Amino acid sequence: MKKLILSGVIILSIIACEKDEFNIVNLNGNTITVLGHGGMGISSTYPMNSFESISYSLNLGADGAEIDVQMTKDSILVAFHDFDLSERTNISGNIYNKNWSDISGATYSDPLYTGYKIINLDMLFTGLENMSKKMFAIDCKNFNPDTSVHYRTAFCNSLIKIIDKYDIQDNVFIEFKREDLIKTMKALRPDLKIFIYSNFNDGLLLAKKHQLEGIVTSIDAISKEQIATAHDNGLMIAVLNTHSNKRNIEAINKNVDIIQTDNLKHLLKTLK
Amino acid sequence: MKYRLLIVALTILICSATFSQVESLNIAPNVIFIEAAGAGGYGSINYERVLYKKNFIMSTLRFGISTYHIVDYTNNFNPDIIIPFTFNGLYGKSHKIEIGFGEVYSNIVHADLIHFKPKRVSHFSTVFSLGYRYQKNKGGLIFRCAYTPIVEFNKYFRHWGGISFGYSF
Repeated sequence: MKKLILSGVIILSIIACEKDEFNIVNLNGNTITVLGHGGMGISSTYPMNSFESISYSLNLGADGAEIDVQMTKDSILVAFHDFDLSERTNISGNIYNKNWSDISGATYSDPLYTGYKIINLDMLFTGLENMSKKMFAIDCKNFNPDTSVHYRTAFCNSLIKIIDKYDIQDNVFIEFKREDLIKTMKALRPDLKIFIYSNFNDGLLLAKKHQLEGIVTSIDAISKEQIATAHDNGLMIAVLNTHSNKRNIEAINKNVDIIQTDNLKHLLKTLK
Repeated sequence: MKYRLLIVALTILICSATFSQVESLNIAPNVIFIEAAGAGGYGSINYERVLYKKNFIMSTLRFGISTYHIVDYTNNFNPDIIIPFTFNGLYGKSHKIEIGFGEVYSNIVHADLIHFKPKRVSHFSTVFSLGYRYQKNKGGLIFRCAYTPIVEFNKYFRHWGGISFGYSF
């Protein structure tokens, strides 16, 4: 009996140690770009989009990071996810109604006792090392109801200014939800890589219409067949909401091109 | 900061002086427990000592230790340190009502947003507790659950709570 148990343990150990083999076929050289979602992901003990979170994800070996970006009244791009600052910080209000000087002292509410600071995109890129070797997905959170040309141009120009300042046009892709912003950015800088953040069907139409780089969508909202269709149309697929081991594996098996993961350590261990 | 450290040091001194009084009582004066959430943030390991007991009234002093990260954001060993330090009053036989207050010292690794190197930032926060505790005087397993509001950095009020399991001896 003891020998049987021992044999079982040894076999299980061997199985557990075996690295998964994946036959990835995509438009990204048959590899998957691993990005940390807001750095270390939604359930990390570092707040999403904080310098600490993004820097830690890169130091762990991620290919890059996804960063949520909003613009202040004085056209400063702030790395922040939510509609209202009170959802995650010790101040309240919308970023688009504030100047950077109103926000710069704000700290994240969680985890308790940590007091990590909110940061703008310029500060973030100043502090990150080996920028040229990393990939950044800039998720534009345009909560501002203003759809005027003035707003759209100001937003896109602020983004362009940062991208040019750090010379990272080749390793940045911009995620827009709004078609008007895509049009504005395409008119200003057709060379920049743009993804549409949408469901698959709408995303496919808009991506083809505006000759975009790809579509960003949730892993549970897209099938392997739809991803193959996107690839047939020359479009890459980036997915998010991969917050479990199972969803990371699901994304790999669906042949996506980019995973913005909330479970970075598992994905790195699985793919690297 | 110096003022708070002085209070902590004085409390320890006073408490040390009372330890000998507790030894003569027929109770288990030491408690080791883990607390999920509570004064330590997301969780802590704690030691508690009974300072005083008379009839159904008991007072205790508790120290804990907690952390969020053992390695910092540069992936080097550089742990965050969180030390809850509370004074509690208990009333009851085995089923007790607990009320307490204290300070939490936090020493967290941040990024210095000028030079972008890790730097340690220290704060004190004030914690309170109001809850239930099961603890037999002669020792054994203990359980407690409490509402533990926190005045983070002594500026921001936060509702919070904790559940603890431990052993008294």
